[in-house]
Amino acid sequence: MENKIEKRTDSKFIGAGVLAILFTIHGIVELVNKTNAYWVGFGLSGLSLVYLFYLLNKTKDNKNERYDDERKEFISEKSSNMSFNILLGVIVLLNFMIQSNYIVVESSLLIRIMFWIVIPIKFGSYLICKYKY
Amino acid sequence: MKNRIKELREERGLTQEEFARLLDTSRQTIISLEKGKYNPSIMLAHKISKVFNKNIEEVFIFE
Repeated sequence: MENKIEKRTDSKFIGAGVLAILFTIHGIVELVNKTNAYWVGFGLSGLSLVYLFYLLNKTKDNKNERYDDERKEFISEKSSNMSFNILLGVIVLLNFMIQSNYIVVESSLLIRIMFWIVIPIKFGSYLICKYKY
Repeated sequence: MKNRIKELREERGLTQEEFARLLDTSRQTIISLEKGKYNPSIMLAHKISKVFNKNIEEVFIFE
């Protein structure tokens, strides 16, 4: 009955790496477009890298912590559901505000707003679920 | 669901980290299990009871 389950790397490690790459690309795009916000991308990329190295250093004596287990998967699932519900609420609220002309935004700005809203929602719901379980 | 994991682990002189290694899981999971914050899957519950050499009902208190 004992079947070997292939271990998957903890999503924290993957997330930190992916964010570092994404923010570097963001910084490069901003730099190419000659906007002043390029340092935000590079700064966040640096922070993601620092976090990744911190995680690697913290788990160097216990490699087991670098892999997903059933609780981590459970938390990830729960926080994804929670962040989706919150995001849906934000979209409904934004839709209502735009339709009632309470705010007027261009579509490109709206996408930017959504992008910067998604990250704290995802991170916040992950922290809530981690604390709860 | 309550459990006797902490009591049984301490009886065997195992640290949370050693216990986590035996179960192929993380120390955080052991902490959550001991605090009763997280209910394990049937597979993990089976593994835990096997480590303690007890039946599942002797480790987990179903209420």
